[in-house]
Amino acid sequence: MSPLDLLARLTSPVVRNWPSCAQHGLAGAALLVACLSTTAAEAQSSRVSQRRHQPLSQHSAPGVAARWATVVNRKAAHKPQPVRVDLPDGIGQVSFFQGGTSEELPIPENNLAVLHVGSLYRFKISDLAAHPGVELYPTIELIDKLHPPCGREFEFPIPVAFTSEELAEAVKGRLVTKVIYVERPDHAMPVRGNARDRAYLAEPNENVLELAQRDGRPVAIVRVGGRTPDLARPEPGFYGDPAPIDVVPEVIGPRPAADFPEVLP
Amino acid sequence: MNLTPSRLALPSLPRVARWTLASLALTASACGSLAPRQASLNTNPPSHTAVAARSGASLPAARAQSESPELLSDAVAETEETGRVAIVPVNGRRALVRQTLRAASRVRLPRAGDCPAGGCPPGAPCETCADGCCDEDRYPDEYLCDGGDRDEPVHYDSEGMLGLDTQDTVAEFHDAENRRRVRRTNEVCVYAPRLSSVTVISGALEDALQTKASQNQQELQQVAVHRPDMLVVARQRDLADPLTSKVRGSVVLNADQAFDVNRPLAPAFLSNELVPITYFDYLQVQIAKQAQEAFEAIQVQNAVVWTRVQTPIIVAKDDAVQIVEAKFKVEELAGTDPKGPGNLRITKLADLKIATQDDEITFTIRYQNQGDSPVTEVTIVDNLTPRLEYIEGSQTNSLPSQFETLDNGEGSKILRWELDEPLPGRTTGTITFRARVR
Repeated sequence: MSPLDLLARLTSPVVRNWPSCAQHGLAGAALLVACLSTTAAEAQSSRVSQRRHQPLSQHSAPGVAARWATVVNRKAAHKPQPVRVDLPDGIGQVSFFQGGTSEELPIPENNLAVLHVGSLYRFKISDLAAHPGVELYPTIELIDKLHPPCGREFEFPIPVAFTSEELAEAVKGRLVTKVIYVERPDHAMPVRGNARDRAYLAEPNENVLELAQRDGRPVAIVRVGGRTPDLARPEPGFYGDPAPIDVVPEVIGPRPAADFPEVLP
Repeated sequence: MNLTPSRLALPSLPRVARWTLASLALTASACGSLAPRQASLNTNPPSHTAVAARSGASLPAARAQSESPELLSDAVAETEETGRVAIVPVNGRRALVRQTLRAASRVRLPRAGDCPAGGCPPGAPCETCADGCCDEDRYPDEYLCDGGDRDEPVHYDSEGMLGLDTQDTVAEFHDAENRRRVRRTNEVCVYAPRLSSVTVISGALEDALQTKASQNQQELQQVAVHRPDMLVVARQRDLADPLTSKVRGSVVLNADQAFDVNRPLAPAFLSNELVPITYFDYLQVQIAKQAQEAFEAIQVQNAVVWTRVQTPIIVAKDDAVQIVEAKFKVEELAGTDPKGPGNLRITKLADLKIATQDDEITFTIRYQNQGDSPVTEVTIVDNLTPRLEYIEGSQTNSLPSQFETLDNGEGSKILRWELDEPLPGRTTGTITFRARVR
């Protein structure tokens, strides 16, 4: 049975008494309309996909992007990822709150905090050189991770590099939202320098997650503002999700040589 | 050319007929490549030669299945002696073609991410080492790659070379027939992810005007996100009623405005409403098919009952057997292309698997004339990717050449070597240079 015959049979309640040629003509027209409508729908979806709508933004509640990441990117969900917090001039103390409680876990210098994708963490920055006596309580949520070769995971942490300007704004009570992303190699800026040098500032009405997605693959969202814990009435969830944290020393390992054949492969 | 049945655009034909037609097409392709020849694809094409293997139809199917992989591997191995396998057409063996292509058509080069020998070390936080962990194909944004011919292929017009994107590394030469040819290198990748960040600062400002402006912008974005709500609002008719109300003391009605209010329906929603119709058709097809099968089953059962006293003899005919007999089996090797009038092969290697910023990578480009005749005007061009910074004075070439660097307009360099002398047959040269990771 050809497709035209099949469509003619499906339309038989309406055109049962019509001639066979008329039935085939109607079936062909229906098939043509279906194809055209499908093509138009595909073209429309293609235009939409090129726009890459980003439903999340810096205004989304902390932790939402991480929770979405566990659903969208199941391979990375709950996987460990080392994070290195860099303070201006390297002066200051960083402590993570572990298990979603107020118990502090200090991160010594040249150490990494191993966090898990899909969780929201809060940490404390204190003893800043430019702001003595000030304590800041940033949050970080991991939405993706790096995939270094086996055994080299601790050599490639995600750098959370604060600038002195960002911390100064946070001390004033403003909210600084930083989206860290893996650069697309073919779109990378041809400059040398560390992560702090490559950071750029977006306008307040721009969606930084969309900008990060345009330039690469977002892996972490960091927020720092003037919010401090209320010791009299502790807020549930202020110290983040009850997710595990490990502290490991940063590793700068030898560069493994590639297999270099003596003859052409 | 992919001649799978799905590409033949004959969905209405039975499966057997489609495979038969595919077999005919593939057979024609294989037979056409038996004679040594060189195909021309464009003005400056890479040459394609073929080594064919075939068998007769009289070969038993079981025997052919047990022997054909080895024979096919021999054909692939013989082809690899003269170049890189591009296509392995085999008739009626869809799975075998796919596996053979994956196994034989890729030149295995050292790359980052290979699992250590013996698996991951104990306690290492490896995730999927057993199934080939850390494949850069899955996360190309974490690898710094150079070589190959990315995006637009390198080609020429009257003004010179076009399509040389960043990361491309190619060699151009003239063969014995004075035809200009281009060869690209393999792509070599080093694990060197680079992270950056984008920051936004928001919150209360001393200037209240800016705060209000950003707040208004945010409200507009939220309306756009909740688009279904807009549709509901557009369908409300209560707005049309006041517009169609009669002006007191006048006979003119504002009916036109009422139509305008009801008109804005997004075409996107109209197209979406067609989708359930399509699904409905599909369901109708399934229902019709299932109902027909049940009807036929009842008829068969009735036929058995009616003819039971006649002791019927059931005769079955399996068309698939004929298809198996018609398969194109691998049995003999016939036809090979000699070395040709001079053919350049170029390979690119890196000395590191992993690199971070400021690391220096030594790249090696090996070029070899695989033919017997010399090739002339050999030029090797490497357009470095923006994250690689060429270290001045670090290049060497084993053969005398003229070297120059050009700005590629994207913050990196184009390295160009032009050999002084023609490259004789069976001769290999080596270029090395160092680049710093940005």
